[in-house]
Amino acid sequence: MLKQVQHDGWVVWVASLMLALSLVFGLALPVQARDRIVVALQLEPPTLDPTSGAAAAVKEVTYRNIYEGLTTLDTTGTAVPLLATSWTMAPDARSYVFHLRPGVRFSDGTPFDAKIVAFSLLRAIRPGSTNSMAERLSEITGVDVIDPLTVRIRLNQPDAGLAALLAWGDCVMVAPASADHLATAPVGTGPFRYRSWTRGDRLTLVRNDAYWGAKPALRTIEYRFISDPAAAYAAMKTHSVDLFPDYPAPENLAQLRADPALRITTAPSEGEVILALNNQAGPLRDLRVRRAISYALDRRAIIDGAMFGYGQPIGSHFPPQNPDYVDLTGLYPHDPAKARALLVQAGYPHGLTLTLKLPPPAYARRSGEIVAAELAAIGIKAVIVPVEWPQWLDEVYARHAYDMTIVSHAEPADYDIYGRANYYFGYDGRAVKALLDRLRATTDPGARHAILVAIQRRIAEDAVNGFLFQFPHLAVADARLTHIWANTPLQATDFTTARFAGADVADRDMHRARSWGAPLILLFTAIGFVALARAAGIGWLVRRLGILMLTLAGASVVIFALLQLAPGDPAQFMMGLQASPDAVASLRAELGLNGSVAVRYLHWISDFVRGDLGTSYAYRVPVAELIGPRLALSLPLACLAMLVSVLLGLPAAFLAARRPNGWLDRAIGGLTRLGVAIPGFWLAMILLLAFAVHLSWFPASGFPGWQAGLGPALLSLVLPTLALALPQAALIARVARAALLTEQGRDYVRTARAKGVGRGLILWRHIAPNAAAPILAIIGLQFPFLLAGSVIVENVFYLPGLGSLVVQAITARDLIVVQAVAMLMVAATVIASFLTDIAQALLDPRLRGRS
Amino acid sequence: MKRAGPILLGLIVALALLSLVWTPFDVTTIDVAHRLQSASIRHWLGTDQLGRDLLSMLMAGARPSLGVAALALMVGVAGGVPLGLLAAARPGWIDELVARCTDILFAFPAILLALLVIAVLGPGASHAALAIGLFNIPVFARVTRASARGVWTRDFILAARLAAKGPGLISFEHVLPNIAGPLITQAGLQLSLGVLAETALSFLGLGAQPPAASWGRMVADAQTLVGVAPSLVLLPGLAIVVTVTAINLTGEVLRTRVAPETGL
Repeated sequence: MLKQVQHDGWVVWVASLMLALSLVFGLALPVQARDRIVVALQLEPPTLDPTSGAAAAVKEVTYRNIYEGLTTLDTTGTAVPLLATSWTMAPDARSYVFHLRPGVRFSDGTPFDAKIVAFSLLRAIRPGSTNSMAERLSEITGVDVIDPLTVRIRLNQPDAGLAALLAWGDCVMVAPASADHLATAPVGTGPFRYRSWTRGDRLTLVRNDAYWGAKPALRTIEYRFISDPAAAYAAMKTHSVDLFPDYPAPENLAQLRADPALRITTAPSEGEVILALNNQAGPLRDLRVRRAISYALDRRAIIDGAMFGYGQPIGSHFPPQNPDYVDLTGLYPHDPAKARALLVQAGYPHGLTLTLKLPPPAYARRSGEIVAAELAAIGIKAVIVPVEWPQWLDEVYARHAYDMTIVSHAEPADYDIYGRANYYFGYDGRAVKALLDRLRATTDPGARHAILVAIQRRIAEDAVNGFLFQFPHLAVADARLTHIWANTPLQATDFTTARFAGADVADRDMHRARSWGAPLILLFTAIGFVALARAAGIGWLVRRLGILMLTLAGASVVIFALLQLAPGDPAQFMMGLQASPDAVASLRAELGLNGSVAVRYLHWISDFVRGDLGTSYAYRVPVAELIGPRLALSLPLACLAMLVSVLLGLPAAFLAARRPNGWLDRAIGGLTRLGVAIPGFWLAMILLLAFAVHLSWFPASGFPGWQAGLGPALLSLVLPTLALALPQAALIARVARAALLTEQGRDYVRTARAKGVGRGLILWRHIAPNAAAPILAIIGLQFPFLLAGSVIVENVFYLPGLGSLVVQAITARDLIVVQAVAMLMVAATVIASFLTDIAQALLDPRLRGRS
Repeated sequence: MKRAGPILLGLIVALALLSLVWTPFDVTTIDVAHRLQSASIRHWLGTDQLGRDLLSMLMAGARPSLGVAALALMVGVAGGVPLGLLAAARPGWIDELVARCTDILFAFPAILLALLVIAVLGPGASHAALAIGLFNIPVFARVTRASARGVWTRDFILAARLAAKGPGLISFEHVLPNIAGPLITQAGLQLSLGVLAETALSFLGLGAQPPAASWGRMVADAQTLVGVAPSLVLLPGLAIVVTVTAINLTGEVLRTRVAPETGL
């Protein structure tokens, strides 16, 4: 009779599972008209204020969408009107008069006029300004308001290129009322305005219905941040992203081209990928060594190997599509013999060793491998040192502590860096500086062209760096998307006229307002306290609690100490490439990064226990705000995985233990043996590729959020749950089986069998409770394992959870966030083991006396 | 079937050692013109996205995985076993101190500790070994302490103490040999966990760096090419599964020899 009950139980489980799945599928796919575009970017902007010296990613998102400047650049790099309708330059090029567009307002209603222009420009050059163009703009001596729609700008030296300069994203127009909080609440005159931002995941802009120009066809732009080539591939294949202006995985383009629903466009960019050489570092001081390196490079092999053929070889620091470009790739053709000869001449007949520091992006890492192999062929051993961006900024850019590195310089017309004293190349650029000064003062196009050619030649002949290739814009888009313009050279995608051809395009997300239920942590705590009420003795309990507190305190010291040792300065990382040392120092003071370690630890821990987790360095928002939405994903994921692993593992163990060494036991044993040997990331990838990319049963990446509805949210968690749960289920099955079999060998079991009690009943009533201790132990340890195992799974499935937050924060040296998340995970582990102890003690009185 | 374990493991270790001196093709030579070729007479398993021979890469990839796991094991044993013996030999505040320290280390989910350590030291095989080893230390400390405490209550230990042998000498001469069983069992377990941890760290790019081959990184690099060349992803993964299973099976065989009362 017992057998029959067990058999029915199995059926009930299967039926419930089927029901749940059908419910989930049913809720998942409504149809909605398409005025929303999802754009994926590789880099997330740290703030939304392009006028405060920040990364290119800020401009990518905000320029021409939220903010506008007086002028903009067309594809040839010529200044054209935007907020200024026309301008005139004085004959001596030392003053300009700009005529402004009437009827323009900011998205908060502030009118745009000449006073705004004066405010914006003078703000950019005020003392303490962190605007990355401040040095260049400091030639402005005055901005005169002639009338509300006319300004005169006076300069302290002739500059024929002011109109083009004002097109840069750092020179956009901002209003006094909103200027202080542009980083988190941007206000501009553009066709879109800011709506919301979930850090590390997505950022949303909505149409500005009061825009002065043509009303955009799109209502919403949603930016998602995907830098991982595999996640990018999955996102495009499953059509969860509509546009990828800079697709990070060139190797997939052939496959994506074959999909009729996608359109691939390649366009040249302003990015020059260079093998930067520290001209001050030992052997690299010698021009012959630098030239040898140039001769050793096979640009075609690098482009084919790292970029799968996409990209144009370059011979100097200038992009081929620029009208002033001169082709210098023939100056140093690929000639290993000549390279070796030069090295011998320079006094290195036996070769030499140099370090090659590589920042994170795929193009750098891949090119680096190939360059190292090419240099090895001529006797230069290149030791690859991978670094994160903060380290790169600190070691390579700030302290010049490197030999070689590979990086893309993306700003347009950035050849002026070769004239700067003390730039990270360590190049003596006096000759180039002289040419640059002449260029500034020259207005005649023919003469300008000659000077620009001379600059390119000079840089190439001095072999300052190894010039590899021009980085292409590889854009992958939904084929129905039209009227999108890539506004190179300023690297902003113009969405003003973009639209989807054809109506009623199916939209995978839902927009139903629904909030998610009670936090599970409170539930666990409640259970814990109820158990405590039936306590195993107050003394034992107090001691255990004391140990718990001590452990947490000790762990906090370890976390804090470790992070202080991590190289890389958070302040430098936040300020970016262009910042002055003063600006970085003042940011350090502002973030409280000065002061002794002990004092800072005490500050942090005293705030922490009072609930103040601090403010994120990278995003400038309270850490608690960052962690909240991440927890809302990671906690349910861990709980679901735990549930699934127990539901799969325990029954498997029971089935196996019923008839030891029977065929079922062997079969389950084989499966579980496989299960504990499978690497989690591999299982996750295989599940992703099979069920999401190939079969399209589940979304391939991302989490729509609980507010998008229970169905879609759960759907995106199915595969990650399985990836986490299956190996743990195998482990639980093995441990539980062992514990059950150990008990089975005991005398009381033999007695019961002798009395004629059935096998199943013995298992349930007698063995299981006694074997509970080790089984509970392994289950109790699941939770922290799963919380941490989510680091890998969230990486593969691109989920914005706690695991990916901690990896992102470590990468960005956002120490405050790392400390908070690490403490959270540690607390979860400690509390889980505490609860397990309690549960074990409750089940087995013999354990209560133990310390 | 179980005896297949040690044989398989022996084979894998032999191939790994062989790759130190010879592989069919040099794994550091990049030959972009011949990338992504399928299996042929010349390349038995084909080539990867940079033209390197896949069979050679698999052989060479065994080195970091096994090497790092073995090194991490040694770190764990060298750090954890003495601590555990000390704690068992001197109950009282030393025991408490050791217990609390292991509690603190145990409070960290393993991969979090590894991430933090590598954030400080930078990526690399030896740093990965240290990071994983750091997590092995409390494991061995706990196992050693638990088993050693059981041995300390036995009669022959009492006899040794009466013979005025110091606790250090007793631990070394008498206790250690008697707890070898559980320790060897645990070592087998930690070795296979070490391999899985190393491949996970390599997958994230934090383990052995190029030009050294590594199974985890091979999977990561080939993720986007799975539509074109699935073997680049499947074969390294299979290599990991086979290696870990071999270690587990070997562990089971050892267990039946040295600690027959624990059966799995």
